[in-house]
Amino acid sequence: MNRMNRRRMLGMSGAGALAAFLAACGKQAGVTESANIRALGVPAEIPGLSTEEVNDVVLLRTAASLEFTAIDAYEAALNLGVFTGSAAALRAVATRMRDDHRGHADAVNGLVVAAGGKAFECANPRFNEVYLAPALAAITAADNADVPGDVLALAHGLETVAAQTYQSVVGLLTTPALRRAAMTIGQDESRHAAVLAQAINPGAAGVGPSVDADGRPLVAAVPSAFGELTATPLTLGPVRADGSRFQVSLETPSLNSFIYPNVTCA
Amino acid sequence: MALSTRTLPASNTRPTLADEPVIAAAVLAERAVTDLYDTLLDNGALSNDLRQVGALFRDHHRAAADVLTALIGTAAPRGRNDFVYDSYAAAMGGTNMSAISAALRGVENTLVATHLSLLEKLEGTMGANKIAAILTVEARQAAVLATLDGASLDAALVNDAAALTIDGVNS
Repeated sequence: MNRMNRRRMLGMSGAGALAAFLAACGKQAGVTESANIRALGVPAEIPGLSTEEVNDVVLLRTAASLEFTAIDAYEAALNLGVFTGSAAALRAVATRMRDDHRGHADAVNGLVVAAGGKAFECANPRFNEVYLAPALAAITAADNADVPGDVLALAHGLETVAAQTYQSVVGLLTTPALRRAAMTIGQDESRHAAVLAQAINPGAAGVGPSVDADGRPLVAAVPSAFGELTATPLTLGPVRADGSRFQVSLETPSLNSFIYPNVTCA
Repeated sequence: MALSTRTLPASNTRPTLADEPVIAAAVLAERAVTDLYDTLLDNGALSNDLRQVGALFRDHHRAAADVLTALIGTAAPRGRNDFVYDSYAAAMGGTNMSAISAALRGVENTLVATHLSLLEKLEGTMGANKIAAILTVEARQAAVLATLDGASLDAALVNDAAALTIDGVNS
């Protein structure tokens, strides 16, 4: 390192002193830098951020992924063997809705391919991790007293989010034809949600917004005058030691759950 | 997945001049259905429970007409789509609940199909977003009418109604 004594430093005037000081702190000739040994105050290099565009293909692939999430959920529900006795009629409903989602998945992936993208043929990884897997774990817990009721609640929540997803992408899709195609499927999901809402809270009393004796909101088949994009709260599973139950708020896909071109099925 | 920067497309563009007659057509259809529910509610044939459902759905159609009217301001039309009203008014004056329910389901499904066809004509996304938010509710209403009537699952889930043909808009 260049040597510089105090007297010489003080003898130099402002800018000159600063330039000399900075030069003294600079790289040393003939010394090889090591990436493994960092000097104090020198931050590690940050890898550059990749740039992803949320375009028609990404939005449609994401919609396709939710269709497969719904298919997986109905498959899991049908395999639980809970649609017996008074819940036997719901087996036909669940089967029909699963089949509808298969048709939707094919239709959406057709749009993906037509838009120049690659079909996405599995469930949304983020949704499965954050919503579906924990919800199914709560539903299938050994001490859960109302498995059919919880299955219905989960199905209703997923259908609501699916309908919201199609509605939410209308303003983001670039062509009117794609907007129509998206909402053609979205209105199907809305019908699913309404039918399931009626299964949970039947009759005329279950159509509009209402609350139970404790003031908690009940499921409504037509909860508002316009399709809402707010989160759908779900409470499932057995009552835990502290009196609580598993809770989650289902939300439409966002930047961290979109199916970008680099996302593939495992 | 690695962190990334992501760009979202713009999502709010106002109705264009070409959008105005498209949205106006939706307004007229919504007003016709509002009037149909009013006719039904005046009929007195509904039980208290069903009256509440009818009033709720009527209010939703009125809100839809109001929101779409606000979107195009002075370009909004007066009146209603008389073809829609006249096609279903007789059924609204009857006493057969299943016939009334089937007619209402037909009305709601027709509006859903019509709004889908209008969606394909709209250039501005503000209008498209509003139409989408309206038709998703009307699809729910159609399904509920089928469920309350004890109709089949197909009746609740399948929309076999045709879109209204509106001259100069979707014809």
